Amino acid sequence: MTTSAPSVARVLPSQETSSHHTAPLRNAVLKVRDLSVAFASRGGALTAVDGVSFNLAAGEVMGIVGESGSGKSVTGLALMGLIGWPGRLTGGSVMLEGEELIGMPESELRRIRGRRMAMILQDPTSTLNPVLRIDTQMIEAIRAHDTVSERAARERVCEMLSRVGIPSPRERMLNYPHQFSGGMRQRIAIAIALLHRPAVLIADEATTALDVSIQAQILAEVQSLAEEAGTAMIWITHDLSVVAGLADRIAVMYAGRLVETGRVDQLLEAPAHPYTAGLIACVPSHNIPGTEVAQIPGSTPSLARLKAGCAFAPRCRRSTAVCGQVPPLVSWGEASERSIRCFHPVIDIGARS
Amino acid sequence: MSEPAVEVRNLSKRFVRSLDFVERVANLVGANYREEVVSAVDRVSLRVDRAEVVGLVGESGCGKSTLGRMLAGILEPDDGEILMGGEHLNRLDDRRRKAALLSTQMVFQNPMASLNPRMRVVDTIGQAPVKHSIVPAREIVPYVDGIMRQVGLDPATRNHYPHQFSGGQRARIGIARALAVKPSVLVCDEATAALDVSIQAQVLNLFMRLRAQLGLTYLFVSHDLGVVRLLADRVGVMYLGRIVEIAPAGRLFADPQHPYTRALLADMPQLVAKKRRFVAIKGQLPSPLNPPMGCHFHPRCPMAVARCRGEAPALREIAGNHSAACHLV
Repeated sequence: MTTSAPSVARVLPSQETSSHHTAPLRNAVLKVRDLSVAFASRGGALTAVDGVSFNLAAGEVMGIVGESGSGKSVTGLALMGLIGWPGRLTGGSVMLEGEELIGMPESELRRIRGRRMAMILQDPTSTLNPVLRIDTQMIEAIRAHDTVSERAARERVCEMLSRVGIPSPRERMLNYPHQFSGGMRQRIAIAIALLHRPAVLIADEATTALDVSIQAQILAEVQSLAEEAGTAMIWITHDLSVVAGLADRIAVMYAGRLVETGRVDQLLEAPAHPYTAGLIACVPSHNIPGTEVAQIPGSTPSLARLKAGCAFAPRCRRSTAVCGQVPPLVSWGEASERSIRCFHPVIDIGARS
Repeated sequence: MSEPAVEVRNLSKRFVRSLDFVERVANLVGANYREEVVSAVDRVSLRVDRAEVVGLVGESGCGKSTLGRMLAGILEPDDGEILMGGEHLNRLDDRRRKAALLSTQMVFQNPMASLNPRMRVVDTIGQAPVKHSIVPAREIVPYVDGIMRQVGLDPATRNHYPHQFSGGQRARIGIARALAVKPSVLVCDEATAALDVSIQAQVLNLFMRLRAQLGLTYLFVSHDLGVVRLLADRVGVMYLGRIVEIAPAGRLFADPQHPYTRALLADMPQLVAKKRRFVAIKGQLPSPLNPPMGCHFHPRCPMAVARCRGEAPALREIAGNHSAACHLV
């Protein structure tokens, strides 16, 4: 297959015809519209997530990429209905398999969280209860949603632990969290998240704290487990190279807004937003050893000092007077599979719709 | 041939957890508690030439930070020798030993933990050069200003506290503090690991510029192979306290010889838009309390043979400047 030369050095085009990129055609399990979250502060409300919209199809893996302060984690928490004071959901809609989650009473949300939608956090020590044995907390997680005998639940725990690669699970499930290594603890957190074969799994920097070899193991396991169960995943990370090999689609966030979304191969091959292009260019492995790394000047803006208009404009070489307004999210490409929030995209995006 | 800036020979560091009172009493009545000993660094020899950048990679717990700390004089080695500028550190008299130690400075990973939150930046950077009589106290402000400019900080912020800076700026303060005593060697321990990608790129460029301007020597400790590949002239790979392979960076990444290095490189996430099957090194890092006999890597090695279980391979040169510790290469 011949593909046009990549516009960014060393971003290789996909070598195979992409059979796994058909996901957007399937039904959306999760529809997010105009999700907004604000945090109360002394200086007034700070908008941490500003009008985020996307669809997630069954079995699809979407990567949300952004630097610290981009609102990616808050987006994940908002989807789970876990925004607490001083944060506040200021608008939007989250439809899980046709059911609106925003405004749902907490008691009903609790029946959904952990069963139809689950989350893996960065630090497994904060997920696991340090004073309970692994079997105790996992059986509790099963019986919170399913009426099964303790023995049946124990069997499921054992099975799930062996699926995520815990050796001799029957003995190990009697241990406490501190008796496991960091990588093993994260596996247990993943096992808990997958206990109910959720429709949607949200992973927030789930492998960031781990060594590369452990990270590769965990990605391998999550990948195959999600494929088997048809679980759709949202993989939140600051590391583009993690989602490059995992995701079908990537959404890039900057200062609370989605600035670009698209199929992973297209987005990495030909990024349209100057920020995405800059992010890709400054990944160390993309630069020639011994030479200066391509860099984005400046730093991510503080939400408190955010100016009106495009938040990236102060760091952007292409910005003009028009960037004083917030650019609309425009879609293009077949089936409008790509979208961008920029007046001056780095590639020709054709007729704007 | 260039001269060595720092050299270590057969350096070892062991961490011992001694028995507590209850265990000692229990031993008196016949229990069998033993001290737990971790060989964090196990007879490592390494030479860093003047103006060279040596990268040190490995998984957490492999001893790379401990080795870096011993080089920087923060940790005392249990065994082995450290040579600075060709001289044995512990054979120098006090004055020259101090000067040698001062010439090796350290940049830490987490600037929030390594900067005193109650100290103004001007003091954080300026305290050491005054104390060591590099600069007279009354000239400290212009001196600090100069260093702040050098690392890309605005001297007008000299009276601010660490919390008033962003992550990238704090990393620069950490670098400025190390540079303030005019070192010739910097030991950087995961110095960019906590930073965002776009900020990391800026700090990496700063490291490169400083090296060119000041002729600095770096030992760059990192778990991020991409960062090391970018910066280092030579790269050493550590596994459970030993260096298992060391070679010029280009060679190591193009033609790794040790099975562990190969596996590590294969696991490195890449920015390639292609669903890949993540395959991983079998098993996990064994407990350093009880490392496997022979070659430490053999239980996870796809190529291990009987000899690997019994005999620890020595690090030997397999080609010009390229050494590996494996029976099979």
